[in-house]
Amino acid sequence: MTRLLLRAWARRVPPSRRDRWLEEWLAELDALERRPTGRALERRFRALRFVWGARAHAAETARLDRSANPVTKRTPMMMMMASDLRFALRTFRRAPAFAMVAVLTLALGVGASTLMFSVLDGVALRPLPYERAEELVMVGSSSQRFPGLAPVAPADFADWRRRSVTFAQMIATEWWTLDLVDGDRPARISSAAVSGGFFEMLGATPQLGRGIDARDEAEGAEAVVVLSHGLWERRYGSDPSILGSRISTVDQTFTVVGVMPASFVHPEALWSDGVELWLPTSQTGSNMTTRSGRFLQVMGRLRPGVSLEAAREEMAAISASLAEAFPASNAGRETLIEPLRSETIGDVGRALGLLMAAVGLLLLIACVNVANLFMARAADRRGEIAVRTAIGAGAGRIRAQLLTEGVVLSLLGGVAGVVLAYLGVAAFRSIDPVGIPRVESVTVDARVLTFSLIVSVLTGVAFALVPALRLARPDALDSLRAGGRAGPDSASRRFNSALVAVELALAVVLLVGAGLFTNSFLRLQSVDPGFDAENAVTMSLTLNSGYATREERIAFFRTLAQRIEELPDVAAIGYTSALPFAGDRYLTAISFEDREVDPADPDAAEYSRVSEGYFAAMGIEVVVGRSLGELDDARAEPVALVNEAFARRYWPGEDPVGRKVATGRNQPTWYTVVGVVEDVNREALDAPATPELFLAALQVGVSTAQVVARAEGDLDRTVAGMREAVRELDATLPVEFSTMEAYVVASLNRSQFYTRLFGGFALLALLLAGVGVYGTMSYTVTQRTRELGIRLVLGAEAGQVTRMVARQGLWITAAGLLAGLVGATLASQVVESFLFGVSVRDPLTYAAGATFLALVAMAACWLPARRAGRADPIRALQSE
Amino acid sequence: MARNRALGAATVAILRAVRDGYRFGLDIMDATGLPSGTVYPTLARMENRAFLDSEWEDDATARADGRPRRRYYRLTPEGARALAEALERFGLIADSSAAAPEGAG
Repeated sequence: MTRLLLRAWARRVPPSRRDRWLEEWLAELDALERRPTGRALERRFRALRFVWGARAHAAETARLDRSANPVTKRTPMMMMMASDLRFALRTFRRAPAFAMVAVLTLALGVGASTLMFSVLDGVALRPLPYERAEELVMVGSSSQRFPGLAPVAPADFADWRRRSVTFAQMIATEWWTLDLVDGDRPARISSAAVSGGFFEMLGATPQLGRGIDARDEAEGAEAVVVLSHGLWERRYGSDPSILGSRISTVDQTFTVVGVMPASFVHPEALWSDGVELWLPTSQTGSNMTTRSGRFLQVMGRLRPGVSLEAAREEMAAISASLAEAFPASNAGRETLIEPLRSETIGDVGRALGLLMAAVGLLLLIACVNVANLFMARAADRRGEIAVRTAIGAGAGRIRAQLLTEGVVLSLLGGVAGVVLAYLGVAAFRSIDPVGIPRVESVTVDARVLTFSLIVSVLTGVAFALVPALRLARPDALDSLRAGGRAGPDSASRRFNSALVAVELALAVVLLVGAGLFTNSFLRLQSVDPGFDAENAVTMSLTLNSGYATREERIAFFRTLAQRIEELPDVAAIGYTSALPFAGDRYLTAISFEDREVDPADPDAAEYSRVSEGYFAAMGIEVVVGRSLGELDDARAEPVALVNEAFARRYWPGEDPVGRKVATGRNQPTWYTVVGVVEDVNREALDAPATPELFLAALQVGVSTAQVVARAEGDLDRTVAGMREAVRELDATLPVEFSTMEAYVVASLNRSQFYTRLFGGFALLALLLAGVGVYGTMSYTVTQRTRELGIRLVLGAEAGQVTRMVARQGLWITAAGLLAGLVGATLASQVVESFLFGVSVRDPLTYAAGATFLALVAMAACWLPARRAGRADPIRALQSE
Repeated sequence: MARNRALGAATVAILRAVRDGYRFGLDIMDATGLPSGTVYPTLARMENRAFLDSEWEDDATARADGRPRRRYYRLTPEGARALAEALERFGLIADSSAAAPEGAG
């Protein structure tokens, strides 16, 4: 016993001194034992206590040796790491399959989380691209009828700006469009009318010239515009001498005074979409002194140090005094102030947080997997580790080596992951998911790369730490040295099984999530919008001030419709003032002869003006009465059609044909209903139809219209024909083409985006879980080779052994599935608002997810189990 | 580290025991009353500082006694000087008894 201890401690003594050290102690021990005093037990105890000191002696000898011998002097940290690094790379070269699977697994994990982080960072975390953006707020006028940040009347804005002291600056904007007629082709440019100081407030400096300032707002000021970098480049060839030149619409000419840099982004919280040109609010012709017309969006910059609450209090006081002074327009109005940031990002931040969590799960799965592979690998390396320990490597040194291997693996995975993330970001930006703001600021940059680096290193430490701690324990080495005769101890086996169960559970959660989204997407896709989207070409155009009277406008569209109808491939053609799915919606107050107006719930309907061919061109059926006709023109009695939802709501169980309905409350115009058309989804497939009123375009006229042509042949030829038809009538009118299908697909963009995203994650998770189960089961089989061999020798059937191994895997699978289903039930609450037509507890989705995973897990179990059953007993016994 | 510090009481006791003729590890333990975990590392340290050197017992002698050969320590001139200085500091020059200067067991 005592000599055994001495030999154990001798291993700590540097080899050059070890023999003499041991010899000295054996002599000392011998001398001690020769002493005759004491009883046997006492003597033994004395010897043990004596030998105990040898431990300190060995350590001291080793220490003295290190400090005395400059060559084997304590290796500096850096050198130790370098040698660990070289060793790690050598190890991977020896086991390329292991290294490749590990790196690939990590690349998927790091890649997905890097991609997700770059999106989250670009959209939600990064400050808005304006100077001291935290001081910027949106200010809106809220009423009972239009709660929230509703538009503001110009006179109110002027008073706010004059009276408030908490704001350093305040500006107003209005979305505008300009139909430019300079150059070869007329073009409709999305613009923003802004009050003076707009760019200055955002801290943006023009690349050329100046912004819009106070002098441009003065009465009689020259009409000026500032161009976006994109418009300047595209339409004016980046002409450096653009400043001072003129651009024009049919009835206005503007002088270009500035060009914004490419980096300037028009605030997305403003309704104005894709703005490429800015003009002063004084040039729109809007009534800038009205208090009852509300059409401005107001933004402000708080004075430094002023809190949101202070500004809200001040604006509440100003609103109250305005309500008192102008009760007709301002009674019951409140002023709301919200940070620009939250108005820009909205609840997308929450959705992205959710996705980030999903990716976190994925990364966790990848970690668990690689940890498992690492453990399985370590079984093959026990000899090596034992040798390294025998020649003097301490537990700490072995831990460091294993951790280095982990970090090297994860860095390799990280590099591959970053490449994947680059591709992913490019794909994300090209999809340009609807409703996700600031897509342009999503990039893989230094911030994101730092994130990847941190994630990679943490990942490496995370998955290598457990194996490192377990393998570097002295008793772990003993059990390894025993050649796995006993197999892995039950604690280690339980640990492994738990890891795999967790990973299966995570995969179930993601699979169920993906299933719910897919289900919701499919249901959404199968919704019949009520019109026939196929082969329907749309063309939008707006008449300019050249068409001053209603008669001129009616005449223009009547002629245009005739020209298009004569095109060879056009089967039907119509036009409307508000096309479904195109984002045009107008609500009007309506009244009936036999009904009092309920002020709390005034009657209202969506309203559009359509031509007689519109319903046919859209494939919308007239279910009762008749459609509009050529004769329903200005000379005839005013007529209208309603949809089924309208009829159900206002004339339940009655025949609407012949009834009268009026628009406008003060001077109502009465229309006789001549027919009912089937319901159509106006905005999106998941938005049910609401009451709609259709008036005759030939009677009331339109100035902005979407022409719908049902094409029977080549769509491109139809488009060209329609463009030519407009050009022949008026060469200054810009037109834009699309198709009904494109509108419907665009409305599915969000649902499709989430479905693909979750689908992708779930697929990865499934893959990773499969690899995880396979890895663990293989490891177990390798570890139990000897035991299984004995069973086979003792006469166990191969099938029995296979079943025995498989059973273990199936238990793990069952536990993982159960935990995953519980987890999915909890996690799915979060996605409830994203789903259409499917419950978050949809049993079929859960069953499908679980079955799918169970199949994969069973396959992953079966392969190693079958190998166990086929093992050659003799070789299994020799495998020690 | 310990290397440049003044000699501690245990070290002085061990050096004194060696000077007094206790040259074998076990004997030094007996003479000083210090445990093996103190005595042997100190011997190693002192040899490293060249205050002690050691020699191995003659092979033949050991074989004659039927035991492994022993390692004997002895004081070097530097060791003797350092011990004298330390004893002066402890004020124990006159005392040459081999009793343990401290009550360690």
